[in-house]
Amino acid sequence: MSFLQSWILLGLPFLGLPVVIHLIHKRRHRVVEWGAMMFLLQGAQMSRGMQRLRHFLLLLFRTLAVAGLIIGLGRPLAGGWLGGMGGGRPDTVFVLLDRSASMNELVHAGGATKLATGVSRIAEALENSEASRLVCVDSVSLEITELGEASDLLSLPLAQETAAIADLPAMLEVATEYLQRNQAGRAEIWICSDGQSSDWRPEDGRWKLLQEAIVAMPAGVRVNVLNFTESEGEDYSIRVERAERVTTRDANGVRTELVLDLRLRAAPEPIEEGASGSTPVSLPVAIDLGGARSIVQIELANGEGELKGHRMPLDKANGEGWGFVELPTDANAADNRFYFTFGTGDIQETLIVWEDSSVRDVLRFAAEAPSSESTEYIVRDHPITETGDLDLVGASLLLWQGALPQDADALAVEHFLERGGNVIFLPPAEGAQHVFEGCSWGSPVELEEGEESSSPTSWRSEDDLLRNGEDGTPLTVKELRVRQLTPAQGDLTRLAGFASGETLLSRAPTSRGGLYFLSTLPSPAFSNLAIQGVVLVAMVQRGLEAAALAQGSRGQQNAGNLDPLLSAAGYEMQSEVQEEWLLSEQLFHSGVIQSGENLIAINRALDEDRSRGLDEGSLAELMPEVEMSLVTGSAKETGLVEEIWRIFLMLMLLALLGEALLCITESSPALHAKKGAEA
Amino acid sequence: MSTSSTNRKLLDPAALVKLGRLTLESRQAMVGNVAGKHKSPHRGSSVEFAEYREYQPGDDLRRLDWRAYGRSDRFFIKEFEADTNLRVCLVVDGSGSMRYGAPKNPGNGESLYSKFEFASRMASLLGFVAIRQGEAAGLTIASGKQAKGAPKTTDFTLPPRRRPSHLGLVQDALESYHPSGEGDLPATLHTLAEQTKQRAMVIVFSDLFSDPEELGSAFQHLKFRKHDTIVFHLLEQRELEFTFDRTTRFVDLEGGAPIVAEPATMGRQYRIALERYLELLGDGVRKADVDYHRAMIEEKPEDILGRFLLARMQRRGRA
Repeated sequence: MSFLQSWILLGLPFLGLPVVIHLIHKRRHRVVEWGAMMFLLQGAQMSRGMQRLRHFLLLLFRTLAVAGLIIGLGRPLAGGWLGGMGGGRPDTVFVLLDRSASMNELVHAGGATKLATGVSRIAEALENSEASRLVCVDSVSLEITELGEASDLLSLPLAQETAAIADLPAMLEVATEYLQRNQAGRAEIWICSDGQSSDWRPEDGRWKLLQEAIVAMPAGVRVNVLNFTESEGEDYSIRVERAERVTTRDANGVRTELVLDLRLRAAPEPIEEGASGSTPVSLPVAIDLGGARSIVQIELANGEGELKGHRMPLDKANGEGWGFVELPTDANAADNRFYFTFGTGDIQETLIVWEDSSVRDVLRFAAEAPSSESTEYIVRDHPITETGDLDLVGASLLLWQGALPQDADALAVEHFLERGGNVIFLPPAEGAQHVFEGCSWGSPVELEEGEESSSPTSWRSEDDLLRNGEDGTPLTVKELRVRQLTPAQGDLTRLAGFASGETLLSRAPTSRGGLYFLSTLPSPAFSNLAIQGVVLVAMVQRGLEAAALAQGSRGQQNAGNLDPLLSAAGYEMQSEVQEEWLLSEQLFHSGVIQSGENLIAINRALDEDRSRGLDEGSLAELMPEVEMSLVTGSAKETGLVEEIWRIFLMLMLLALLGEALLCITESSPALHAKKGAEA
Repeated sequence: MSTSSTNRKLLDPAALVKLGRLTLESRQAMVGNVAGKHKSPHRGSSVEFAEYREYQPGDDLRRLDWRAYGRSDRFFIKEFEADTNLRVCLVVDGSGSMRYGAPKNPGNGESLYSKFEFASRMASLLGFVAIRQGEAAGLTIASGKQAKGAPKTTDFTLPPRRRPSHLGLVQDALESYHPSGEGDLPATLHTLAEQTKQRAMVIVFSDLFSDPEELGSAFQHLKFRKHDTIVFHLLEQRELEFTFDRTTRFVDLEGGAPIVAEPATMGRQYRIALERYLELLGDGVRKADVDYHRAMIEEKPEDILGRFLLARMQRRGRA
């Protein structure tokens, strides 16, 4: 507990005042000449113990009343966290700031953002902290910033929202390394976040290591999480999934158009029913192209809405350019605008690791098949025996045919998935026992010939790799004939399968990226996938597109994920730059840059739009052995630390009440009645 | 009756007027020196027939009932009730606790009576009523022990006399007496019971702050001696209710050690002790057939006496 006016505590010696007054009072009393001493003597004998107890209680109540008054005047501070801080004064206090786009959401209408509110509350809470060191780590720079005092947090330029995704485990790693390096004493780590799973990455293996590191610290570390999970208003996000410059010829001549695919989402956990419920909501979306603004309406049902193939005429001379789409103002301004570029020619790269060269050829054909005329498709391949220098940098899709990756290869693939890449595993010609992410190949199974037994009967057509076409036409999955398959084993979601229960395509759970298992091979001995190439091409292209969308493409990058070489080469901001942005952090905000010949749109990552917030239980499970306090931030709370003088005022009043009760002189109704009856 | 004594402080003329037509009645037969208005236990010549008894040699032949002899041919002596005068022994407690009085009247700042003054006024008024109707009135002031463990000092005693001037002596004694010391009323009552040979009316004015069992024993002694015992128990309201509001130093009027007490904690225990004492005292007076009256000293003495005398007269059918 700390005090806003601690000098008033100098008055604590006045706690002895009731005792002194009591002693003086004992000497100053009225004198009465009394005849009925025999009853007084008897009463004194009976009440001696009671009188002592009463004196003790009286002094206790009076002392408590004075203590309550003095402490109340001292304006004590305490809160959900500070209440538990009695264990000791921290030597070092860390403040970890999640500066991801979702932290730009307003805590309540007309109020401050989650980040600003969190920073303000933490600064208030630490105002009276007597820690010798106050250190801030932000999710953008991941660098240590030492602060003189807590109020510096409020003016810290690092305490501003960005469009970049946060990496909480990395931030905690920075903090724990600092503590280990400096051999700090007792430490506190305050985390200001909204608990978004894409920032916290609960599946990340680093949490275990972090827990071990924190628990091993001899002086102890306490982690306090201010978790802003609640939203006070509606929030919608807009995203451009495709911005393509298309040239068409018809009877009227050559036309150059911009084709846009837009996706509108409500916040993952909408507050109001209308936002994502059955009632459709129509939102106006502004499309700004070179300063020309047009509005389109997108209907939102069940939390999502999309606009496919929206065409806008382009000037023929306009080879490449940029623009943005924008939503009306809502609770989070950071996800209302999305920049796009066009005519820049994207590159989508696929890496094929193969065991069977014939399979490689089919896969290469599928990966090189053009689905967008403005995209350049690059395919590299390695035999599975030469994966020592597995280079996944720049790749969006990995097609791996053969035994599952091990050791360094497995690590490289895991990192690739973390970056948002997609992986499709195809089985080895013969069975293998390797395990990857808890999944493995089983024993090969031969299917009976015949349409019913060898053709897939069910598949997920609404989304993922086998979804229907844009016009709703289903893929010709039923045309497939599978002779032999090697089922994948593990915690998998079935995407396509046979009537016999066997699975053709399945997906493993991952925090980012997509991990697929195709149970057969595109070779005549296994299936007719190569002959019925539409299905295979669609699967590969969709895997490639989805990964490119998650990773960003040549003309479209996620904030903070920009190729270091590109940014080092210099750039020029094309879009609006806000004054408060640090020069070094411009690439972490949404916008458009020109770097050399490249025109790049920088936006928030896809996960920022669709990732849900972790609840308290999930957060606590990340490091169950670490002393962790969770406080849910909301608009109703005015601060982490509240003045608790009312409690002491109540204590004082209760003490005075108790004192008054003890002082009340009793009367004897029985004697009153008897008196009247006598004489 | 107009004597010089009516001018004395203890006899308020207004009070005398109030008691003017009331008489003091005894509950039982009395033995006196002269004929009076009270019944006597001895048979004698009177107008009120009592009983017949057979003639014994030596009986006065004038008291033979010849008509009875004519009817039964046997000698009977006719006996009559003999009326006699009343001996009134006024016993006033002279211990230190009798100096206690009601607090000053907040209205005019005057001090009300102390218990001893109150008892003195009551004793004087009763003495006046008794002597006015031809009874003999005496006074005993029960002195206390002057110190703890010290022997009891001799009580002041005036024997009962019928002379009006005797009332002046009674008042002089009361006015000049200064109550002090630790009370020992039971001893005084025992002495009185022993020394008063004839039946008498013993009227006690006291706060009775003594052991109730000892008091009961003394009352039993008086009853055994066939005295008509009347007790006026003098109390003040604060003694019953203990209505003090802050820490008070209680100085013992009988010379004991003072006690500093807080009413909040002491009050309940005080009242418990008082109730227990009153219960024991009540048992004692019932067993000794004592005519007990609680007299609150906030009241006027003549009012209390008026109610007392009227009740006695009603019991005798003379009201």
